[in-house]
Amino acid sequence: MSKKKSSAKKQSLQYMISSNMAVSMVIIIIMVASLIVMRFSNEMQFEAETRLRQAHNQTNNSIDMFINDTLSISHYIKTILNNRNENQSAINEELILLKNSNKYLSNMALYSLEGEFLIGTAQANQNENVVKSNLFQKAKNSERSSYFEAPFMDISSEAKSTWVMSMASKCNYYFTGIKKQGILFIYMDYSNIRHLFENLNIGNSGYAYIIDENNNFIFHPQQQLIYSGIKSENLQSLNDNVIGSYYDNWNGRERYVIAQTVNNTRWRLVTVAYMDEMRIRLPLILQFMLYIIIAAIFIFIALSYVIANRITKPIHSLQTHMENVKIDNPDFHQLDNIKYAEIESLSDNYNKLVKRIKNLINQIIEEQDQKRLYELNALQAQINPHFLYNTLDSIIWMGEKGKNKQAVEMTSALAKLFRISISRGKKVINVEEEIEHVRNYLVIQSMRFKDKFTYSINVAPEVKGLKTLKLIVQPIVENAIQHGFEEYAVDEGKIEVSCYLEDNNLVYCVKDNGAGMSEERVKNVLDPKAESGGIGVNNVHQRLQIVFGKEYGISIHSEEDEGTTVYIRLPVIYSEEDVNA
Amino acid sequence: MLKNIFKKAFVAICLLIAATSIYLSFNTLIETNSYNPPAKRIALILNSYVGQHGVVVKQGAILAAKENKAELTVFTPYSDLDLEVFQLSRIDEIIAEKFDGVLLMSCGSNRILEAIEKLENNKIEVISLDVPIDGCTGPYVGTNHELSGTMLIESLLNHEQDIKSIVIVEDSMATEASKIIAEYRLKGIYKGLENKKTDIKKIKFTDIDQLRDEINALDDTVAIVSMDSILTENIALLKNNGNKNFNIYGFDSNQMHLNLLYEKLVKQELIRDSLAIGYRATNNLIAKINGTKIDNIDYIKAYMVNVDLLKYNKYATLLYPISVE
Repeated sequence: MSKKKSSAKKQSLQYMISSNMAVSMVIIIIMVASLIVMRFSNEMQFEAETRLRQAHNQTNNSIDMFINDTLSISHYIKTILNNRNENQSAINEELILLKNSNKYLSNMALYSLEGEFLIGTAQANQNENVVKSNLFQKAKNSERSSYFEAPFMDISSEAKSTWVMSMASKCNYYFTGIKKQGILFIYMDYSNIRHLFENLNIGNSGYAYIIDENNNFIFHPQQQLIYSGIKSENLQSLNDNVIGSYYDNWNGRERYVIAQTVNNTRWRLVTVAYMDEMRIRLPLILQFMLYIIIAAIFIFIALSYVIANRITKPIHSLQTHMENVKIDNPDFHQLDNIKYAEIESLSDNYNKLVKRIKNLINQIIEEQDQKRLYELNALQAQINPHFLYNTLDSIIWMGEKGKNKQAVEMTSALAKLFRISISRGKKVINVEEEIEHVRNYLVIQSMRFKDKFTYSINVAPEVKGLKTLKLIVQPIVENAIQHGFEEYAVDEGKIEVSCYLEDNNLVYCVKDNGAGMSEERVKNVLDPKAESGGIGVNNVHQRLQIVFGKEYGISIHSEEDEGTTVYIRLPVIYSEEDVNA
Repeated sequence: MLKNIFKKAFVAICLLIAATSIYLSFNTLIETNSYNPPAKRIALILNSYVGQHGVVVKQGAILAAKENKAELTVFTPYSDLDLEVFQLSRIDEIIAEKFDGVLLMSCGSNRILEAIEKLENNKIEVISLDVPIDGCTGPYVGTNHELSGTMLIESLLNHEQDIKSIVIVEDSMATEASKIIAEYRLKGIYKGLENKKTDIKKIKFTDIDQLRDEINALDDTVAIVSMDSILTENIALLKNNGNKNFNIYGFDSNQMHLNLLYEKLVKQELIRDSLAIGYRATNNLIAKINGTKIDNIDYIKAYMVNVDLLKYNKYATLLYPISVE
């Protein structure tokens, strides 16, 4: 019970190997997959950021070119204005030509420092607003070359309003040969700025915008929606970061923002990309990885199971073999077809161990049998003192009564009995000697009990030359006399002793017509553990079985009031060496 | 024996799951390579073939559709004639093409309500755009025209302290949609004039000569309310060329009116936020298609603009959207 319990708690070796392999593999797969996903995700983000940066730089370059073109125009006009030989109408013609040849230009105008319109393609905002404007004042009060201003609506050009951006710079001009200072305004068509952003590809929601130092939008694709209050821009985050790239969260969406100053201006170009769009393929990639991981895990579980099965199969065979091994099992063989050196070695060692145990057990059994045999032989060799006393008493009685002949006969029989009993220490004697020993015993007993029984001895001629274990028939005969006739009054008692060959065995048969035995008593006679068993009969039976094997020994057929027949069966032996072998 | 069968079955199940996973992963890979999120198909049906309002509404719708990854188809009529036929046939087309939703700037026909029901029966979401549809209980995104009328008249009364009478000029040839809007505006105007002792005179514009005659007959203490942008231009022209001194207040300004404002031929104009209408209506429609609850009435603010406010881009862009060139 306890053995069953303890084995139930323990896991099988196959389970241990497969589960450990599977768990290790799963951990490795998950680790590797996590690293791949992380790496892939980072790469994807890096790639998206790079793309965004490229788009940002491209836009910045375009704006840069736009600004530089405007500055070049400004420089060119200043050169014309600075030429003391140019008259006003010639300059005007130059400006009109310049405007017509440059798609960026909307208008150009020169104002005096007092705000008076002097010359230009149109009298752009030729009112007090020009003088009051920040741009005019900035250009007037500073020696910095050029200032740019946020877009506004210019309604001056040929009665057709348009969105323009303006640039103002202080310049020198010669009118009527006198050098003066004025403010040159250049108005650039705003649509050109917008076109710079049109082909920007930053996902569906990504965009770029330009903002000046006062957080006025120079350009924003959703400028009107911002004015309407429908959209808003995260200027706080922009002002915190000023320039560079950063992540922010606006209206619940994570964004990647790049801010950079536009050359020659105080504007900042800001490019915004939404992370969910940058990572739009990531969920599908993760899903793909998940399926691959599941596939890998189950493949490894199956492989682990198969490998563990292959590893443990010979161990299982060995285990099954060991379970079937019994020490007295003569069919124990070594394991065959073992492919693995370790298992083969284990099997060999186990085989050697079992053989050794078997040999040791056999040795112990043999030694015990030998010891028992010595004891039995020693017992057998002893002459019953009562028998000796009674025989001697009978001889004395015969001497006193003058029955000398009978006394001599009994004494002679007793002497022969002792001689054969001793047999110079031999265990094996001739069948004839054994029969002679019985005969002497019967002579003595028949003289003692006079007419109580008769006896006959028949020995088949073919057994006379054979050998036999000594003193095996006399105890049976003694038992027949004692229990068959001595204890019960039987008329015309008869004992027949015969010896013959049967089925290539030597058989002694002792038959009496005494009181007989019950079936239960017959069983007890041969049972060494039974208290009421016959000591002599049992002794003979055990000696025969120890020496010749279980198939030999005594068998008894008895019926109450009818008599008993005892068969003593032993193998045919020709010499003492046969017994020792 | 049973144990062996179990072992083989276990390995077979593991391999089956692995094979299924590999199959699914390949499917995902194909999906990844040809990844295109399913786009909602929406349509915008306009009610005028010209007009800045419609163009800017369309731009707002395009912007929102792009942000929402929706596929927007715009149906613009080729003339102001047969608008009803145009819109009804487009609606049939939309039903046949199984669009997900429609932004409908109604032509004002009575049959439009029936068409909306037809769209709804075909599980196509509809949002009315800036033109209220009588009897329609569905969602509306646009200007609160009645409030616009009140706003304009209140602003007028605020600027014209001594005004004795107000002349409202209506266009007798206006489209049905314009007439519906004008009705709401008038309602708002009358609401704004409640308990005021100002006279109201209405002029139905038929031609410029008739308008000139009627205006010349007015005294100088009037203010004129023009019910649409073309009328405003005509009245401003008459003011510029005539010798009558009156202030003009108009609805629905556009970039052509900038000079009128700068030259002070027009005192004030009420301007709809067309871009916001198109943008918000599209967002609402997509939200509705996606099953999100939206406001049934979503009014977009309108603004009173005068020449002083034009220096602010916020107001300037209403007349002349940056995107409209």
